Amino acid sequence: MTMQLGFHADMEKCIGCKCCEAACKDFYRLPPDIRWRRVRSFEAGEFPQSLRVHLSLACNHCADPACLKGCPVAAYTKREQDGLVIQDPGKCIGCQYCTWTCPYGVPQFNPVQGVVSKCNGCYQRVDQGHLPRCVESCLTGALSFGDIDEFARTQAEVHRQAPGFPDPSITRPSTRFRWAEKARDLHPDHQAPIAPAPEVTSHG
Amino acid sequence: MDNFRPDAQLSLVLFTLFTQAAVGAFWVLLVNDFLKRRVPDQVYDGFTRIGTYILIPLTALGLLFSTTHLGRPQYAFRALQHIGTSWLSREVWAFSLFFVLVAVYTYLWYRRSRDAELRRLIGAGTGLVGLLALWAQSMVYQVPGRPMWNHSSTSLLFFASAFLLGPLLVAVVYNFAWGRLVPLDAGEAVVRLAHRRLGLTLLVVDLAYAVSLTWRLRFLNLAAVAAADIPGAAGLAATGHATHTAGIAVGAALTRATYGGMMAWQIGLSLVLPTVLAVLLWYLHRRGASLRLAGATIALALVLVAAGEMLGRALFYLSGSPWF
Repeated sequence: MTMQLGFHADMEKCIGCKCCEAACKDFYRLPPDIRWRRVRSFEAGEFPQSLRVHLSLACNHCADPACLKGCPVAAYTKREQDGLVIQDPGKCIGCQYCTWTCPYGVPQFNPVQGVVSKCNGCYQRVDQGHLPRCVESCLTGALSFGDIDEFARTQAEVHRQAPGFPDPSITRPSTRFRWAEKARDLHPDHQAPIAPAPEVTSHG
Repeated sequence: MDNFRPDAQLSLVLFTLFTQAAVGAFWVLLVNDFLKRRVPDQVYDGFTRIGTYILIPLTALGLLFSTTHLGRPQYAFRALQHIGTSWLSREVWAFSLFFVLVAVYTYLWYRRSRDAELRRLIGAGTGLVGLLALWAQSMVYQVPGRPMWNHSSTSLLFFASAFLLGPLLVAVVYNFAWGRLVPLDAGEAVVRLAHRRLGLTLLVVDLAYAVSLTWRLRFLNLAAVAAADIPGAAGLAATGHATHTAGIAVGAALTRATYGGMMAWQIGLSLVLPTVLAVLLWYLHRRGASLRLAGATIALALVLVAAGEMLGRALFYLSGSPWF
């Protein structure tokens, strides 16, 4: 079986500073409305025991990418050597079908350029032995990147699911999670009633 | 409401409705073509031939509107590249082929009846391609990434729209042609027959429309009820398979609450009105009312049904809001 690279998001360590978002936008000079990485913030528990947890997500570089299958112009490819899903904006005609087929809202349409773009896992940097910019910039070490089979050894916890994260069985995403300890204390069964805070979860 | 205009997808509303109307109208004319296979009737066939003239403009407009939502419409032809796995690519292929075949079929009608058997053979193939195109079009929306569309009622709804708009359009063309392109005396019987058949067709199609709309609303509402029991803000912070239910519940809330007015108009104009028209046509003909009055009623109904279909289709797109 070939290697599958992916991200690991440690919700316990994440403080929601959005440095990862900013680093990605800065490195790729993305327009204001386009965010290849997005930090979603959720509220859990009830006052006075409420808490706020954060979920940092970019492309999940799925094993069965719906974007790739649906794209009518074959602008998506999945690299054999590391499983990264790459989108070529040069081929894109701006039909935006991938923004429908992806359950995670990853591909984003830029009306000025008339094309869709998304996180390509910084594959040029990865090919040179570097980490993706978002991972490199994380202040708390909440973001990791590497062979997803190695996460079991290198990470404290490896979950395929996270609150609100659409069913992983659809496209088999490669992103793995560690849940926030406080959220687990409140909801030990992991089917936690964590409500997204509306003001930060809207799609921009 | 800030995203109402882009999310309502006016370009795709027009693309889907024009192409669906074209397939529906084609089938009406194809059936008329086959009905006179054994006993050719010059006047009857004359109406059918005139009817085919709307097929190319309808399909062409549909295909045009399929490109106006693109970020880079000048590269629209690239959408033919991924037929292996992409339903969108298959849809473009199918409607492009339908357009070419419709053009051939219309041309063969233009050359009158010399190649009638060849015309019917090509017509049968065109009709089949049209149905496949409708199916591919409906499958474009049945993706897990949009659970509120990912249901067989989407296919039935698209087919129902096709066979609601198509017959109405053909009837309006027949009414227009009567007295202008076909002599009044000679054409009266055909127009009267067309009205009677339109009424019966509308009753059957309306039943299918009612089933598809009820099926879709039931599918949405059942998920909305189930989502209420999922822990966390009515299921929005669910995990695993429960996220599907939560996603459909988002579609239900948009359909019922946010854009409930549009749903009411769709039911009134696309569901109730065609049945009312069918009854009215029966009544007008029974009372011996003028064919012109009946024709004007059909034309008015077409305008209203088209408005209902536009609102209904816009609502369909609006209900497909991202779920994450």
